[in-house]
Amino acid sequence: MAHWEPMLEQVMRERAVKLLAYAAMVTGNDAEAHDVLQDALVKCFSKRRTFDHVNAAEAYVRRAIPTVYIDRIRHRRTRDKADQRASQPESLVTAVDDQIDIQRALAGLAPRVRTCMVLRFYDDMTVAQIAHTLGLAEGTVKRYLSDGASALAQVLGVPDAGFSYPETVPVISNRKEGR
Amino acid sequence: MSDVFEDAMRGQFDAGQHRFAEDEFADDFGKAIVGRVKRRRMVTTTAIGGGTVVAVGAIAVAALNLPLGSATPASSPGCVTWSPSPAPYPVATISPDPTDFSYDVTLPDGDGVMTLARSNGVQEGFDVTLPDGTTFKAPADDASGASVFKLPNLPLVVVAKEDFSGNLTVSVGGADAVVVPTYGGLPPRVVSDATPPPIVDCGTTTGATAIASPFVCGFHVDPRYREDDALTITGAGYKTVPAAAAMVGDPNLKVANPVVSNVDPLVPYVTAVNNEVPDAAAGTGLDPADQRVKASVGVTTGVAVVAVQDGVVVAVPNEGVPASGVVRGQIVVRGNGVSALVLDTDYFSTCPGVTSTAYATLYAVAGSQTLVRQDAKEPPIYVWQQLRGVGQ
Repeated sequence: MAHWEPMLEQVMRERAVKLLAYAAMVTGNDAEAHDVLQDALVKCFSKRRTFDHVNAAEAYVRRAIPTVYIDRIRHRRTRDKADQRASQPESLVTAVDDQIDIQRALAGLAPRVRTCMVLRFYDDMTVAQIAHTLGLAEGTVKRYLSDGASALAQVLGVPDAGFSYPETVPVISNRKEGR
Repeated sequence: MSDVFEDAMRGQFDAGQHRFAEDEFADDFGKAIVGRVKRRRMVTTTAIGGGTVVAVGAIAVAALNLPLGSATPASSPGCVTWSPSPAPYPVATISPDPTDFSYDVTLPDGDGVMTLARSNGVQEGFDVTLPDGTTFKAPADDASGASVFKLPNLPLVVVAKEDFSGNLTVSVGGADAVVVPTYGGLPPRVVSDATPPPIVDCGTTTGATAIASPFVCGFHVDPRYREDDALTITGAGYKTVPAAAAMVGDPNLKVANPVVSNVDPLVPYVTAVNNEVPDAAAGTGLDPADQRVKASVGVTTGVAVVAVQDGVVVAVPNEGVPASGVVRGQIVVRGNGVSALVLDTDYFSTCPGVTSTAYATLYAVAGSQTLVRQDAKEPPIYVWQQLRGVGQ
């Protein structure tokens, strides 16, 4: 067995649930989440890279998921079918009505908009970081975030006005005051 | 506001974990993922050393006994066999344009001028523009480096390949090989106009596709040993009849019409081990991607022996060789190893148009096809190696 196989096996056994949940947020579709995670695993483990710990491997795969998904969108010839699938939220099951609404709202977003929203509000990335990760212009990312925020705000029943996109993320300092 | 969205996202993540809690991802997709990673890590190595018992370099060349034109060769999935023109085509003229690294190829019989423009680097193949303006990409085969395609509506196969010296060889219709300098704008230099045996293959019905399988006529074989993490040729040579009998478990094995006759009859054989399956392999004597192979979900390994001349496959297992391969050849499956033994010259069928196999050598070829689902196939992988040595 090649040296990378045990680590890949460990990631699939121990971290697949978390990675699938993340991929489902990015893709808005459980079935596509499986496909994207497979591609992300293949991408990460195909390179001559070694992971010392399963946490590092999981983090790497997770970072690959948005780019893999955007690449799939870019290259997909059956895009219409995918969009059709993405607009079928009834296949997603959760016990909480609110979560269903949010999930439907996310699933209804355009793929790039949804990915930007996840990177911004789940991964706490800045606009610049999202733009770099997805290979998009910062202005485009802002527009996507604005569109996504409006859609989600409606579902959540919160006002959309005045929303801004910080260029930085909060940094927690461990330095003690007064030193 | 941001906090509201962040809370919503975390709720989504938690809900997702709940949905996927019972998911058997590793069991359902693990093997396929490992296989894809192995293929991505595929390497091509230079020729390996002997390893078999006796060096018999002359055997494969001098004593091959291949039938000519006896049967229809196996064809690859989705291909149709075409017949070469009975008349040789005249030399195609090729004019290199050093400014944009493109080549104008004047087709014979007034069929116009085709342009080959190099894509992004030698490994990428060529962008082809046909006389009618149709364009398509002719990718270079990973192993051979050659771009092979059939011209739509014309019985011509074009082979374009650049060598390590930077010379471009273009063969049109298999009748002529012309070498032109890649750089410098020197006039075309005709290397061979003696009408060698045509390069023949099945072109696809759509018109232009590279020949990707070493099981198929016309495939350009890189003389280096082709290796893959997922599939390894562990034996490729010749066995004495007693050794072959022991291998197939038949002490009464008779070889009446041997492919190779040295002092005693010799049996060409190939053994390949599929590293994608831990124990039992599904084996076939055909290209595992061949539509005649009724593959089930999982990994199928195919092994065969083909004849190669001038770097091109000129004889393949004939259509009479069944997928389970017992007639004229024998398939042995042990664990994840699959072996093929060639017991009779009728195992082979020479490719259409080939008039001589006097200079052919035998190659072991193996392929692996993974069927993820009934409707989802991974691209097949192929390895090959020239037969060398006599094993006991």
